[in-house]
Amino acid sequence: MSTSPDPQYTPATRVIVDLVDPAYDGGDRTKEELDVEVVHQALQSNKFSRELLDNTPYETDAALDDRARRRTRQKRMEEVTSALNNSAIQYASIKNLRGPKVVMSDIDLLIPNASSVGQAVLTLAEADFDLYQFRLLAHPLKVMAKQSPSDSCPVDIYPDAIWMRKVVCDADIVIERANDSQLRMPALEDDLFLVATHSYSHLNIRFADIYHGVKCIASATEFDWEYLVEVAHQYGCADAMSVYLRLLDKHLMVTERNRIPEWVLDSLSNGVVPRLASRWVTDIDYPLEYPIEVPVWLANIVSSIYHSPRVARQEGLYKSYKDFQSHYLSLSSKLLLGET
Amino acid sequence: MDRQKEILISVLLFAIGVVPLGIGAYIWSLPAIFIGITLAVAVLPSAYRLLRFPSLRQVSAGDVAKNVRQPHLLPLAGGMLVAFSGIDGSGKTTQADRLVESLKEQGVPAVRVWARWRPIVSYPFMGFLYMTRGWRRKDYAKISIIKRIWAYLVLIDQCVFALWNIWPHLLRGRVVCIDRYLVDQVVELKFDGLYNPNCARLFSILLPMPDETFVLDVPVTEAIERKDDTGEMLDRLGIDIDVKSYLNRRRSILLETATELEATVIDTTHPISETHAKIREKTLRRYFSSK
Repeated sequence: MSTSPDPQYTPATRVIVDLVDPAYDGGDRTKEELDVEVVHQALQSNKFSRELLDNTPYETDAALDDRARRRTRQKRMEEVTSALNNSAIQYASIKNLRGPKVVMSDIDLLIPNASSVGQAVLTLAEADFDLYQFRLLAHPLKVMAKQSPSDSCPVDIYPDAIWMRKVVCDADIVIERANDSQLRMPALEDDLFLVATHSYSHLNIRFADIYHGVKCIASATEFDWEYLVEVAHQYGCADAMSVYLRLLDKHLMVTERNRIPEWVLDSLSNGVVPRLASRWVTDIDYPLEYPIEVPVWLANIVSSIYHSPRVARQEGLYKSYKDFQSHYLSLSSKLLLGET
Repeated sequence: MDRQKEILISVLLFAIGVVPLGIGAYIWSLPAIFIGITLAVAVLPSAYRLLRFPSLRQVSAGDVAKNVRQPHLLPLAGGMLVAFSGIDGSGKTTQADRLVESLKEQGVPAVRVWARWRPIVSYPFMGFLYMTRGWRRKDYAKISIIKRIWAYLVLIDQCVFALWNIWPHLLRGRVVCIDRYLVDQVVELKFDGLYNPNCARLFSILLPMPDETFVLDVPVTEAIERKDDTGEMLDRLGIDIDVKSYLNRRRSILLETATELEATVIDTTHPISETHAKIREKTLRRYFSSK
């Protein structure tokens, strides 16, 4: 068992990684005495349940709350997906993080067909959900459904693969490639891509996002890197993917797993903005502390110059304009309200 | 955030946006132009909205459906026409009213329109025939020229009716639940021996066609129990036939027409709520799909 100083992660992150990833050998370093609050905070900000702390010195009763939240979401997910499946609605449930005991608040459904959105909304309304729409730069068909105003597990309907209005890929292809299980999970490559671009857009990459990537790659018989790189270039998401995959690659290296092919990282660094993004990740100070905050100059300002023109080649001018605005709504939100 | 702070930030953001635009125009500096445009088209509107509006608003399912049905710049094209046909006592009015209520519960704008044929343009023609020959409608089939033109007069009447009573609702995006419509008109013409297939084709061209047609079917004996004023109507129109035979004949023409027009036939001998549930399900599913 190694006891030398670990250059990769800060003590709090080491505890989390050790709890989550069986392949990580943190050795004695993970047995360091840390403040209980620090560990709890680190787990929560990385989206993991405090149930993971059971039988550790950091064990807490609050784990019961996290368990209840996870179960509520799981139950809601089963109810909603079975209702949608019964109505023969074409959808994919996205952003379902694959790690152990991940606490997710909402259920995200990608439903690109307008008729299917109508059917889904009707199905939810008939199941006593109240419907809400977002007022800021929202797609007219983006809907949030809640069973009560304080409902902690809302259902979000995404009519396109958009984060706010930032278009990241072709939603129809995601649906086409999704599996036909009860949950209609996207193909592994799409699943990784959606989580990666989403976390980058929200300027916050959590360890749950990174571990999701680990699971996606591990679950694939043959992970289709070519597809991933192509979509990233096509939709101007190479900067987002470069940042995400380089962080993921560091974790793969630490856990002595197969690394991400060199050509993938090289290809994602082609171009001025992706190169800036790669350089930013490479220059991050060690040890790493998750969640990692992506700076606004990179994910909002610089990214808008790179991303929006590429979206304009795939989509219409109006969508591209909204896409461009999304970067700055995110920026304004961060600067004015301190949230993304 | 209080109002003053909100105004201050808006003014500051505006100033930040305008200055680079000015500089950009003066020195032709591309980065300055980019910053200026970005601030003007993206940062300022975003920041303003962010501060000005709450992020969420509650909507009804109908509100969302309007967006589903009006994806482009045609805000007036979202309406839907649902027709109810059937013999007297089959429950058309009851079901149409219930459907309107159900649709409204989901936030879908809906209205019931009673559309039994009323002579408008054909009225003077009918008056003339009655005054000169003492003929009522049942007698028109005796003369082949009248037999040929009568359906056209009815069509004109229906077009005038639709212009005032159906199109305005449809253009406002409402669901029009129409009590008696084309199927009933065809049955009427067939019953009187005045049906003209050439003219019938024009009906489908000139009148708004129903998105859904429900033909409510009920055995004649039950229909008579539910509604007992059919005899009075027959007396008024001078039709010399007993109520049961009249309804039996109408019912058989109705079912035949329903098959021809591929309408949905619903047996209304079941409880009202059961029939309503079937109609509601089909209509809502149809409405919530895009056109």
